[in-house]
Amino acid sequence: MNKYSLPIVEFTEEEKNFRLEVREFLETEKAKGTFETNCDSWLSGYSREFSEKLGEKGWIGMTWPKKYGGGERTAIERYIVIEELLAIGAPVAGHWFADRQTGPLLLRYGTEEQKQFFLPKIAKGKLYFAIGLSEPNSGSDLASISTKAEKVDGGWLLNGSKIWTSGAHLADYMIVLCRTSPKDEKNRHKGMSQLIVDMKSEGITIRPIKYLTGEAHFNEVFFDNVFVPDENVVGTIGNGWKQSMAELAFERSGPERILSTYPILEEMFQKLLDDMNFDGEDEIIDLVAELINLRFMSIGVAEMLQKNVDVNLEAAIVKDLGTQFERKVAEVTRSVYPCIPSLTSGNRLERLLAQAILHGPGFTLRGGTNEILRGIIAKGLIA
Amino acid sequence: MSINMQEILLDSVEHILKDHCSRELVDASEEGNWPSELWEVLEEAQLTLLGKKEWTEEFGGEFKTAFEILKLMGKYAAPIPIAENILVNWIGSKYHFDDIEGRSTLKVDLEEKLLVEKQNETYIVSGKLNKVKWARICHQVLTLIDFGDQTHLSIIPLDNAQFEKNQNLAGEYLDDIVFNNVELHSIQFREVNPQSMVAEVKELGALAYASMMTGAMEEILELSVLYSKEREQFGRPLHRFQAIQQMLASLTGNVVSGKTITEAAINALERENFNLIVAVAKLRLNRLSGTINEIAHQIHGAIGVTHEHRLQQMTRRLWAWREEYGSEPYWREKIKHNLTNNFKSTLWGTITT
Repeated sequence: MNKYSLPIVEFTEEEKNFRLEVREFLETEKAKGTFETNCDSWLSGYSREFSEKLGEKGWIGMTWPKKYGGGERTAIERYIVIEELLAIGAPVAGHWFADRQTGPLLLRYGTEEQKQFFLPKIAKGKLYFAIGLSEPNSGSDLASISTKAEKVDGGWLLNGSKIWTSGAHLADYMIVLCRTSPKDEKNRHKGMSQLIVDMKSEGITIRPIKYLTGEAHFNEVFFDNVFVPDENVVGTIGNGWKQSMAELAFERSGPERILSTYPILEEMFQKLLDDMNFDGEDEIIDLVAELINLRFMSIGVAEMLQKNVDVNLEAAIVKDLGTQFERKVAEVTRSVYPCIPSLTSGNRLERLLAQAILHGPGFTLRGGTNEILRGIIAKGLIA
Repeated sequence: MSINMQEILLDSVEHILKDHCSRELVDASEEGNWPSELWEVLEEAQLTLLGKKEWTEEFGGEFKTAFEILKLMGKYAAPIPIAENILVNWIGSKYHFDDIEGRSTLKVDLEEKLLVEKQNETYIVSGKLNKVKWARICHQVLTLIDFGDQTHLSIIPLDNAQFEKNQNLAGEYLDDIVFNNVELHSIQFREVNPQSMVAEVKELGALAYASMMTGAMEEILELSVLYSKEREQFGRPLHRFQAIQQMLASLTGNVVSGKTITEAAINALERENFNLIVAVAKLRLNRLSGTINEIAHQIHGAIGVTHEHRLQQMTRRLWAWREEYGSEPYWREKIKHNLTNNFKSTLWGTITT
């Protein structure tokens, strides 16, 4: 009976007050014009100024040790900050990957020097990371990557390319998953390593890729004999696959898999309040109910992650359902509220809808396609 | 009750159900052979006292435990009025009715009140209650009565009532009860606010049925996984096909959604956000049931739609239980009112309070 039971987390009074403090700060900043509300702001909303302000508040690297610039706060407090940032659609893409993935990765596998050098700058919101995983010939089948690093005196020589790398054009560093020994068809996960690559290094070319919106927030990145010093190896040479997979649990079940289009639902509920005979009322209430349901699930996974419980399957379930919900918000809205979605519209809802529709296909592709995730879920069920 | 005590209790309930609530017994009940022996076993185990003050005191149990037990009742499709009994026990205790013996059911609805008149020392009961769960095998019904100039909550014996037999999609008894000037020498009734009484019963009933639906959903998932391992087609087990894997994963997601929101509602019991969470829970469980049944039947193919397989006992219950204690329109309205009455400048601010 207890298979896949998620704990129900009740926020404490302190946590509720903390949420209000975060919210008040964000509302003040928005009123000052520091940022505008947008959909999918964690992937496409960049602001150095805003990242640094969050750093000053101590809301990046919140859970990390103080000696590395962190705040030693709980995972639930971090969860609250992330939720508030997404609900208001704040521009957090710059520091996002460093905060979510690189920090925890370095804390777990990094050297003392790496932690001391990178983490405080990330926590200040001054240092951005990109995550280099997919390659032109390796999408869902990540184990087939062929970018390789060869040992040279004092470091590694990197050759190959990465694709779909969000924010590579703005990042200061990239964590590159590459082969440090030749492909072994019997054990495809063997011989991979993770390197920290300085994006200012010689031999790097970045080709921006236009997304459906016309913006280029992801890229193809070419490495042509890029020298990476030994001290930039993350963890153990040959252990890159396992290290990368550990990162992914953090990536799958967070609020960003539920709330990418939340600003639309907020607008729609205001319309329902303004007009108690609003036609699309039933559909909007169903969305709110689904959101409440998904939040309980996602917070339950966060609680389990904090306790170091293996939640691969549960995280995959949340991502599968949450990302479908994100898209449904846009689809339902346009079906009950006549309007013409457009990125250049003067009407805020039309603009948000345009963002949500055009970003929509990405929701169920990024971070492992939902089909790949369902495969993981099914195999876990049968095992 | 400590977590450990609860586990021991749930274990023993599951043992009883395993031994005394077979697929054949559920089928037989549908044919009209009500399983009185199953009820007697539960009586011996004092599980029919669930919800009463004496149970809470004697076992140190919390009311929450009753809903955990109901999940098991749903998992085994137990064809007995256990949810109804728990609800009447709880409400009876809360409103200080004298102790109730035997099986109880309930129908608390503003549109279906009984009329009670007093002639000399006798009370005359008349009226009709529609589609009352398990009515024909129950001893009394908790309902609203008009008596004097007021509406009261009352527990009326069913000894001389007539039943118009009817069944829901799962073959559970859903009878109309007719009181044709039934004479009673005494009658218990309590003054209540009828509107809030109806709302309270709906919420507790919704939680009871959400719990049973959760149990049925878990069983559906288990049956589907099992079938996908056992059944071979084109030389390999079903679960090796990607199409089936995708369905199993979606099914799991929907079941986990249902489990989680039910757990959240049980957890919210007697807290201030209970009204909202239980409304969300029943709405979601209702919506999820359709999808879960669709996927589970598709995985099982033809065998799943026959009485030879257990699946149909579960899926027909989900379809039937969607309508118990409020279908979607009722709960949507409740959610809307809850959110608008407690509105805190934004929707986000309201749902995160």
